[in-house]
Amino acid sequence: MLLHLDFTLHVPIYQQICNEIVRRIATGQLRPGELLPPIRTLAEDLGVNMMTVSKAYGLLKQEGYIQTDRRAGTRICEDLQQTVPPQLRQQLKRSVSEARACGMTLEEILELCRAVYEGGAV
Amino acid sequence: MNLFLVICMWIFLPIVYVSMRNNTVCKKGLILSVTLPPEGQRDEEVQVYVAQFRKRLLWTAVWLTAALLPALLFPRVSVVITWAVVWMLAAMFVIFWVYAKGYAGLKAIKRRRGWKTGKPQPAMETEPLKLPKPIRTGWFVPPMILSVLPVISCIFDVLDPAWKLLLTVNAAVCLFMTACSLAIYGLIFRQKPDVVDDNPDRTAALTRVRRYNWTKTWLLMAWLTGAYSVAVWIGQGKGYFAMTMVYTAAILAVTLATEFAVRRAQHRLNGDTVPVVDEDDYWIWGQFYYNPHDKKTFINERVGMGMSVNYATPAGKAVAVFAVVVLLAMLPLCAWLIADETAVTELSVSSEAIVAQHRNTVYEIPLEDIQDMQLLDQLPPAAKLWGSGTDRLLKGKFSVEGYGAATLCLNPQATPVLVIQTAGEIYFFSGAEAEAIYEQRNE
Repeated sequence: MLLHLDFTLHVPIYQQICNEIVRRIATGQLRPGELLPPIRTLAEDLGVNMMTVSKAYGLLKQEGYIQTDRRAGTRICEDLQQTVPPQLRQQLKRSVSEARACGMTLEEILELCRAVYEGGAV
Repeated sequence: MNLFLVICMWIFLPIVYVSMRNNTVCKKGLILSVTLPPEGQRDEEVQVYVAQFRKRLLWTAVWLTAALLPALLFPRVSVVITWAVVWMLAAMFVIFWVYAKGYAGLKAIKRRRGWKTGKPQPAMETEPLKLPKPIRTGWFVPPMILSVLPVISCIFDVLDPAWKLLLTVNAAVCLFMTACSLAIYGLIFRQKPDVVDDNPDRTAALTRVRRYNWTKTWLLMAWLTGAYSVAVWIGQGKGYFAMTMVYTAAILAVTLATEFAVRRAQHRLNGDTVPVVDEDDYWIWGQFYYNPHDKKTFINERVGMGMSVNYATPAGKAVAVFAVVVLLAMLPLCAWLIADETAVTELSVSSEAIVAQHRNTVYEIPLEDIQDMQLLDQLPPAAKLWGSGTDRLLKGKFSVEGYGAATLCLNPQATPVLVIQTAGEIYFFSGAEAEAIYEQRNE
């Protein structure tokens, strides 16, 4: 599996892996029920420590995006949450506020949101 | 002993075999070191050719193994070593020749089918790939300290001179190894990224995989070496051979495990890539990099995590000459070993000294220096510090049980053993004249 990771950012690598997988689920590149590579395999492919991938999978599981089974492996959840969780609204509010504080205009923020929503490279 | 020596020489064959066989599975657009486009990678003719190559490679490895087996039956260690060395040189040539033939055949198919696969890789900045930085040098410092730690014992403790010498030499070798790990580790970060196609994420992933595993290997090797040095110190000479074997096996296991982890990742990341880089013409027989346009001496191996040498640079040529000289120098060394093992130690006594001569080595012990002389029915257990140590020849410095460090020049199977003690040295000799010399001296 090929994921985009940026080691110059201050965002932890496990968080970046997590974000990339969520982005792929959102854009349909990863479908519900689809099998994800085992932790060891993904760590080998990304050139990162197994613990990093394990932490990312743990976070995704906690957020309800994936489910793990010792025999069946790790899969994207079939029944992904359809209602917007309250913490997501909080995160969005904070992200938009941060962007505004950094000097981004509304148009720029909307453009960025559109690009992310439509699955384009950000 | 024969089995151990044979296994030590043979082990290179399965490693090379597995590595060459692994090259038949597509990685980074390469099969058998030939760059192929996706249609070439899936082509039926290529698949059949590769299957035939695998069979040929397997039979070559089997025949080469069979050719080594007679060495198990030889009575003398020097003959076993000679057979194994000649076998190793021949086996290296044969297996690389089989690979070169396989490579040439596949390249001919590529040319005949007119598959285009890009150009040589240009120099490329790694900055836009946003790769991880090298780890801090500080991670290599503790293993270096661990390596030299036993020297403290040599300075402050009262030790047997033989043990002290072994401990110091071992610590020096370990320090050299850990320092080399640090020096070689940094090389990978000066190399070009692993460009296969125009997808920067793939290039970043492939480069990251190589660097991550390279880092892991050298760091683990440094720490294993440091731990080995301390273990030898704590063991106080007990189980030294077993520890060395475990250490060597651990280093081999770490290297092979990371190498194949990289190859697995390179295979999975291959995807359906359309190669934009083709450097086949710079790889002689798919094995040796020769690019006069590239000024770098050390370059990345095309597959796996390792590095290779550009034989077009002056330093690369020097490395090639050195490697050939070292390999060929093994032959006269073997001849020397056979001559040494078959030669007999001649003992004689004059009015002034006892003289022991073994080929060109002469030990002359003035009679007035001799403090004590003994005749033993057999040699006490002895461990080599330096010199030759085979079933029929012990020559050099040894640690002998009950005597400490001593100079030996004898055939341990020939008895009796003459022990001569002087103020500064203990000598052990054996020979037909040993008993007569002992009796003459006593009279």
